[in-house]
Amino acid sequence: MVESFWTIPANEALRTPLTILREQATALTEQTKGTLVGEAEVLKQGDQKISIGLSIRVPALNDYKYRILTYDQPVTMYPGSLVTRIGNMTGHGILNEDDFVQQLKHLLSSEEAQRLLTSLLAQANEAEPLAPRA
Amino acid sequence: MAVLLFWNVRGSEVAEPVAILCRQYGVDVLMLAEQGANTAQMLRRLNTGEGAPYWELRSPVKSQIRFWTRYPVTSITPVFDDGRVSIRHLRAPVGAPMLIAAVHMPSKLHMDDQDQYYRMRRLRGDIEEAEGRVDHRNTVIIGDLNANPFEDAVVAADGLHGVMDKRIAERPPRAVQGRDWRFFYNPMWSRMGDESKGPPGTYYYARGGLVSYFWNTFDQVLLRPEMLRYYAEDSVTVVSNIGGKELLPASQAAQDVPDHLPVLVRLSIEMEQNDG
Repeated sequence: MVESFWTIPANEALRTPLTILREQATALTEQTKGTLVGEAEVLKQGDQKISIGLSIRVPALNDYKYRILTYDQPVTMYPGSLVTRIGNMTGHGILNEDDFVQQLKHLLSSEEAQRLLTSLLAQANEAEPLAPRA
Repeated sequence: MAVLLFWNVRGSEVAEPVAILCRQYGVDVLMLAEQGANTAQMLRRLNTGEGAPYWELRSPVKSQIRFWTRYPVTSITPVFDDGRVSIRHLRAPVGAPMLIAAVHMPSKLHMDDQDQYYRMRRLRGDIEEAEGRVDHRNTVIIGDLNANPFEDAVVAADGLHGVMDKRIAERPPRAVQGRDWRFFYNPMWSRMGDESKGPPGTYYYARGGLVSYFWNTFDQVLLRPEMLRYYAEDSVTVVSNIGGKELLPASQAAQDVPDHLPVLVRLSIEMEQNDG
């Protein structure tokens, strides 16, 4: 048997930034009972960088989509840059997973984010119900 | 004829000049970036005189770009926002539908060329997704790209793929690195330099260092080839004079006036109706 020089890290607990965004996307969809739909997606993969985003889709507003944040990360995931219009956190540097989670929590629970959700929910409720699909 | 106008007004008080512009050019959809005036003041100015009234389009979220229109407000629906990009779907009472991507990209002061390129690739992806949702590619990009027409972010196949020649833009998508990339036609190539029609650019900045363009054409209009049937030559205008008052360069140093020039495009979308 060939001696392996690799040290394979345990990856059961590994959460990528995209996984974390997906969790928050699902949480939004569930908490609003689908009135707002969270979407986490890979926006662009370049040679050295990956860009991922978290968006809110509003089915009642013709699927209007608002991208609340993007995270530009290297292949190694960190350090990266979190960019959002909320809280003027333009190009905030993220050092590691803990930092990412903390900043994300701070952002998504902020008063500005609440105002955004309130506005979207109100407009979704105001909109005429969608006709059932044929 | 649909007339679209974009102006990055840098927070300046522009209600009066904008109103003059709208009357002078018969603007149907007005888009302002960094707009400071309140809605009531703007509407009061826009709606003095005759003609169809302008309305501000309600955006589902706060956006850098605000829209006014004299089309029925229900004819324009929001499709996408991310703070820097606002995509709207126009279904005018008469004529072809159109996807309008109004853009205000971050300044070069805050982004290097590579980041800008990266940001533009994301814009292309967002536009393609929106085109898929509305099921057509009658798309117009209009706004402050903070990049010149010749920069990689605007020219590259995986950027906006904006070309200077309509005939090339009308070719099938170009295959590069295993993917087909659709074109945009970028008429702003014909709006650069002092022998072009209009001013030499849309933004004057005499930067230090060895390379300075002085005039930049950051404010642009790009069209999908599907829109070229509604586009006649010289239908893009860089406005440098409002009501007899020169906007640049005499005022370029002043802090209380916009440092970008407005761009507008006229599109004969009603031709769709006449074809049948």
